[in-house]
Amino acid sequence: MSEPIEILLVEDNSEDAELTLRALRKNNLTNSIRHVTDGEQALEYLLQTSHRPKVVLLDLKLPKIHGLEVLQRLREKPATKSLPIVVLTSSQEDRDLARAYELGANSYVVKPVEFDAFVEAVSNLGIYWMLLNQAPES
Amino acid sequence: MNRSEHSACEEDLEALTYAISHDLRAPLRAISGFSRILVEDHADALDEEGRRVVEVIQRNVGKLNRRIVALLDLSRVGRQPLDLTDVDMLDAARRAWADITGPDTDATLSIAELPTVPGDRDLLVRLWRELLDNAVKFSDGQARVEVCGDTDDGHARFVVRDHGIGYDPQHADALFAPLQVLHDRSSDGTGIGIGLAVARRIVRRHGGQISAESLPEGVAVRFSLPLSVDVP
Repeated sequence: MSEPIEILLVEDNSEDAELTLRALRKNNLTNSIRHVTDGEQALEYLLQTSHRPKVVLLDLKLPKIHGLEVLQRLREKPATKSLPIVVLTSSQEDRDLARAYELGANSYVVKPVEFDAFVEAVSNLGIYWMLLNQAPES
Repeated sequence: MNRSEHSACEEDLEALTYAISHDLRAPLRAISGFSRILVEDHADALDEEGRRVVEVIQRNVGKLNRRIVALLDLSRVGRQPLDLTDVDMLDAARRAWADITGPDTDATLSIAELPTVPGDRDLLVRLWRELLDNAVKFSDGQARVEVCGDTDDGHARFVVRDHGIGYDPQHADALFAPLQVLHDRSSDGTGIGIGLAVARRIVRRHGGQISAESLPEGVAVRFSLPLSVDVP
C-alpha cells in the first residue's frame, strides 16, 4: 500500500514543480507528496480524500480555478476549514497577500528566484509543516 | 498631456513594469535551478571549463534577479496608496540618517530646522534614505552631507548637498532614471542604480519636483513639495 499523502503540491508550472519536489526530496519528504496542476484538481482531491494532508502548497496563478478561489472554497467546507494551507507564489502583490490571509491562508511565501534560496525556503516549509507543526484533527 | 492623462499614463507604466518583472521571475528561477542541477547531477560530464560556464550563468541570474527586485520595488513605490499626514521633515531625515549610517559612522550630517509637509511618512523617510545614502556613497573618505530647507510660494524646498565625486553633467538625464549606474560604488560592484529613481517617484507622487546640480565639489540635489494637499 502506498503511503498516505502528506503534502499536496498545487503548481501548474512544471519546472517550478520539479524544483520544489527536488528540494523536498533532499529532505526525504517526497514519498508522501501528490502533485496536481490546476485549481480544479486540487479541490477535487481535497474535497474527496478521507486522509487530510499535513499541508497544501498552493500556487495562486492556476488554470481553471485561481488559487485564491480554491482557498475560499476550501474554507467554506467544514472538512477543510482548518486544513493548513501555504500559499507559495511568485506574486509579491500586497493585495494578493492581504486577500490570501483574509481568506484564511496559514502562511504566504514568495518563491525565491535564486536556487539556493529557493531550496532553503522549500526545505524550511517542508520541515516545519511535516515535523514541527501540530494540526487539528480533521 | 494634462495631469490626469499623465497620471493614467504613469499607472499604465507601473502596471507594465510590474507585469514584466513578475513574469521574468519564473523563467529565471528555472535557469538558476536547472543549471544547478546540471552541476549536482551531471558533475562527471563537466570539465573545469564546463563548471566555469555554469558559474557564469549563475552569476548572471543573480545580476538579473537583483534588477528585477529593484524594478518591482520601484513599481511598488509608485503604486502603494498614499497615507497622508503632516510629516516633520527634520524628524524624517534624522530617522533616515540613523537607518543608513549606524552608530559607528564617521559620516557627518549638518541639518537645521526643516518645514513640515503633508505626505506619506514612510515614503518620505524612504526619500531621505535614498538621497542621504546616495550622498554618503559617492563621498570619498569621510562623508560630509548638508541638508537645508525652507518654504516659499506654497512649496517646501529642500537641498541635500555632498562633497563627493560628483557626476559628469553630460549624464544629468540618466541620474534619476532606473537602472542607470554612473559610478558603481557598492562594495561588491553590484550597484544597480535604483535609489534616485525611487526618490524621483516619491517626490512626483507628492506633486513635487526634483533635480540635481553638479558642483565643483560634489552634488546638490534639490526637491520641492507642495504645502497644500493636492496629490495627483
